[in-house]
Amino acid sequence: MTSDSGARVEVDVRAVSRIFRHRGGKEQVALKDVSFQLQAGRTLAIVGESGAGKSTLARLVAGLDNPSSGAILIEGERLRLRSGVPSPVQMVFQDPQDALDPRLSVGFSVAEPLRRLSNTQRRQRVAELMSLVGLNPSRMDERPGAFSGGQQQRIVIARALAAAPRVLVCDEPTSAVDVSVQAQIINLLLDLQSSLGFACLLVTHDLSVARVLADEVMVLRAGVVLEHTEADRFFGMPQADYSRQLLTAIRGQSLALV
Amino acid sequence: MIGVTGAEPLSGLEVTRLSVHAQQGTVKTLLVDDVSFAAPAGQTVGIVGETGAGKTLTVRAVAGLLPLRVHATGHLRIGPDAEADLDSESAMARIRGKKVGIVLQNPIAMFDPLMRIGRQIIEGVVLRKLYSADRAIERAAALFASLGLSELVLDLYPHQLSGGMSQRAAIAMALMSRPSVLVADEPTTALDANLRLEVLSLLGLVARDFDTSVILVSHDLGLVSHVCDTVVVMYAGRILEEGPTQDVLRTPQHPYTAALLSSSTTLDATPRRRLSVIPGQPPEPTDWPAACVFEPRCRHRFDLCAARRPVLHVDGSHAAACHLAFGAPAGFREDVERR
Repeated sequence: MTSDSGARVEVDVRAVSRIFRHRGGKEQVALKDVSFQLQAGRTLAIVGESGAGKSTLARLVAGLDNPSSGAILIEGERLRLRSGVPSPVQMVFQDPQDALDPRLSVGFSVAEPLRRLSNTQRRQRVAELMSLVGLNPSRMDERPGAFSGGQQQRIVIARALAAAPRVLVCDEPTSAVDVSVQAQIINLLLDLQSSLGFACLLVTHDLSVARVLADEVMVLRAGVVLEHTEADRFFGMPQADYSRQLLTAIRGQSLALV
Repeated sequence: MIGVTGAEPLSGLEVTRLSVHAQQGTVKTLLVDDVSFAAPAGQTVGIVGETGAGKTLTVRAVAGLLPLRVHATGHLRIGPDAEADLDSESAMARIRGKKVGIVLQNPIAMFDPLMRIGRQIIEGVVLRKLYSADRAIERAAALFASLGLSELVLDLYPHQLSGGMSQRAAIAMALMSRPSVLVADEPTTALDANLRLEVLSLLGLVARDFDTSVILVSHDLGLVSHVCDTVVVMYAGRILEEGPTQDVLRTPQHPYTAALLSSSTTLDATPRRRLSVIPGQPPEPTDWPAACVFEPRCRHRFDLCAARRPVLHVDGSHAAACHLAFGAPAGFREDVERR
């Protein structure tokens, strides 16, 4: 991908492979020789069917898993996750219900990455973050169960942003929420990215979501990059046959209007 | 599968004045507010709405599967010979699991991971002595064949099935007792995009071939548009709009339906441009507006909306609970001018 636009490269994935070894020596190649760069303020959508390696790639970039070979550099350095130090890569997961501890107040969850602040500062920051994602800060002491799915996803986004990440990895951020809430979450992500300037890695199987959010699109199939191109080009004239098939399949499923 | 039913109006499911409320101590919270709809045999009805709209509770009430301390009132009629008041446990016991089959969102969660698929599928009907074990296995195999599954799947464990296969198996399980109504609650949410259409078409096929009323609950208008003959749009416990799918999608009469449609993502969207959204959130059941439930979020609201609950305005088979539906209904202009 071009990096001649001058923007800072936040994510640099270099020839990354991830092989899972099963019992009995069977090997499963989840990702094979994947390379790309992602600049600040841009969104890369990773699309493909389930099993294509999308989530594996997301987990690798977030440092939740290590590549079998190759390297991933965040802001030019290998990511080192240390307890108590928030990572510059934060994740937004598919199902906010799974991503929030039901026993903790949402304010507590959002404040997790803010342990170094004093109590007063922390509450203030949590209030700011909740307003930022469009929630009433007065509800910070309530538990996740008191919130709707869309609100929970906002809380997850607030928590991810608490650490002021350079990279936000969103794994199917809208597939567990309603259509009208999906639009709100998409707008929220667009707004937050333009004000905060983080790089965003969006994993989605929904090409129409990629259409709205992404600057560039990467198509994965069986762990291999089939195509990585600017979003306009991808949706205008996809290069790989497989991409064309994907687009046709999705067009068949979109609203049967007119 | 079944011949032509003579008495047309008596076929299928008819739900009249269904309300659901939760009881917590002395506090009663209304969760579904006076919902009536019909699902004719052989047809697929989509119930669409946001989380908390009451769509799942509505179909769970129909299936007699409400959670503890959640109660329904209203009336069910299934085919010519089955009727039940929703608040009568003994009447619902005759419906539950026999007249109404249900398919849930996550097919894997419907199966016990330690039991072979076949045994689980026949368990319910054998326990209730609807079939002997041998006959039940025969029926399961026949159902599998018509749903495009190999008989061999009966001997597999749930983890050996792909998502699409397990949803098919779940549909087969729901159909075992020859229900007149098949309820599918978000049956494709847990599936891959390329499998969704497949499972949905299967539901359409079930409706036609088994002469079943299929109720498809979904939050996705786009998916519903492909398989449903009619669609019911719910919001805050009420039906806001219903009608033939294409009418509702092409000429929505309720601002909520229109707003839902315009906030959907499409491949033709302008990249990086904010979507039009419905401002705010659906109200909590404890503070549903008394007049029009959508009024606080509606772009077209005017003084009447907060004052009077809109009735369902009907135009042929298309109906909408909005004061502005189908142009200006009788009496509507005078009301406005008088204010």
